[in-house]
Amino acid sequence: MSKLKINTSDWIDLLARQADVSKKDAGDFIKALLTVMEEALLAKDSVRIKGLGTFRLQWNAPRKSVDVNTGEDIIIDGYYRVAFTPDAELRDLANEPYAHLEAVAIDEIEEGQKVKKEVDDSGEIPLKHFDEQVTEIKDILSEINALNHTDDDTQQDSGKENTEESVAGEPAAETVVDQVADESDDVIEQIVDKPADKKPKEKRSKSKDRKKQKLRAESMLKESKSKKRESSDRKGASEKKSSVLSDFEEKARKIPASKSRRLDLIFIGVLAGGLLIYLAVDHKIFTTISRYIESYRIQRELAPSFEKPTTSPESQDFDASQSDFGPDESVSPVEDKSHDIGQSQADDLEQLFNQARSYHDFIATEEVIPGSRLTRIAERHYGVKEFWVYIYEANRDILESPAKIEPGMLLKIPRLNPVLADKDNPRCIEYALKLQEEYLKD
Amino acid sequence: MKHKELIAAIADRTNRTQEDTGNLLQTAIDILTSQILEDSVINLQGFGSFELKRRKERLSVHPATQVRTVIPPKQTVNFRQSGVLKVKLKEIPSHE
Repeated sequence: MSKLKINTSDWIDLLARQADVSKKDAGDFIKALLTVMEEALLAKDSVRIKGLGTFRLQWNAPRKSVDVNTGEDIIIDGYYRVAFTPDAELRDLANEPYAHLEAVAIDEIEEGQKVKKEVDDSGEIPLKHFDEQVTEIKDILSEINALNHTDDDTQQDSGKENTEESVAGEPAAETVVDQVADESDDVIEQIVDKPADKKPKEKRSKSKDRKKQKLRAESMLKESKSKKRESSDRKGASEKKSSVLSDFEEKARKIPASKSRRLDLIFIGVLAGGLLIYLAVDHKIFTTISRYIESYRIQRELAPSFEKPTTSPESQDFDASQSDFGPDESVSPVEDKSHDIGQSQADDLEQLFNQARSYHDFIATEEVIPGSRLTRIAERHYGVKEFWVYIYEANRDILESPAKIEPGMLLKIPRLNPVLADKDNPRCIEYALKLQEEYLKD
Repeated sequence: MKHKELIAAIADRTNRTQEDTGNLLQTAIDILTSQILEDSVINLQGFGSFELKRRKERLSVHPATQVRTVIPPKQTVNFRQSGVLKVKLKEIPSHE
């Protein structure tokens, strides 16, 4: 297909005929037009002609290339080139044959299905997750133990002691999962605390990373477990346990072992300190604690089905007991003071988590743009994407599910309690993740 | 250079009034655009050529949402500078 070609003289002819001027005048005019445009462009100016478009210079940067014949690297100099942008009017006229066509998103439906699938995948029972994680960790640990068998016999010894101690401390109602978790907790700490000057094995470091992630989840399990333990052998074993522990501490102090062992002992000491706190408190306000544990257990059991944390009468009671709890604990004779503070802070958090959240104070209102996600918005406002759950909670009235966020929605961004949404506190993030799991399940 | 400045510059060169030049330019441009839209190639010697070009339909993927979209074909006015102009442009001192 050959197009009709029109050159400058044809243009001049047409102009002369239509504008009713002589050919010479028309020619002069066109020549003047072209020279003026050229001069302007050579002076790096842009030329705009109404009804046609804009001519301007575009700089093409120098670039590397390869000489086709010699294969040598050459540099192509930068140069200017005239770029033309048609006016909107001309552009639309030119595009008239295709103007009725519109951009079509071809996989909107597939996208929706994908989101659903993801939700289904993540909608498992949290306990099952823990089970899987525990077995996984156990596998990894056995591998590591096999690797390190020769060079840390001493560590293994102390680990064994530790497990023995903990087994002795919890005689009866201990499930298999708990034991496994307990064991792995101890050994995990050993590995994490181990100084880096030892032979760095790739496998170990890799698993270390993985474990650090899991540690977060584990700590939750650990907590619940220690509480359970407390309740199960509160009456009988408490005396015995404390004596065992103090014995152990003495032993720990006696051994002037290597650096790695010292780290182990520090960890064990911290663990023992924590238990002592529990026991001391246990003696003093036995009844309130038992009530607290009851409510905690109930909440744990209800956890898979809960929609939103609400203030039940139990937690009201528990609040009251907490206020008793505070001063008592601070008076209690404990050597590890920092640990003590950490504990009470953690309990405050627990309290905060269990309170019903209501949102009245909003930082901003945001209109959802295409491609936006709750996590993105959360990251922008709170700095941590995990806190999207709170935005979701504040917008339950318009959001059916977290996935059903659509462009044009007006989301209210709540002002969060700085203690609740503390991005430096792993427990806050952990709690947000727990909420996330709940919401994604729906 | 705006439209009016262009008219003034041409009027200067051709000894016409600005109004006259404006009308003439309008006619000239009308002819040019109508010829372009009739799918012919307009070749202005020493300057460049205008032509209608068809851009093919294409598949675009939104980087954030991964939504794939078919962008329909379209026609645009394409300008190609002439070799003479290209050589002249090369003489402009390089980019600061």
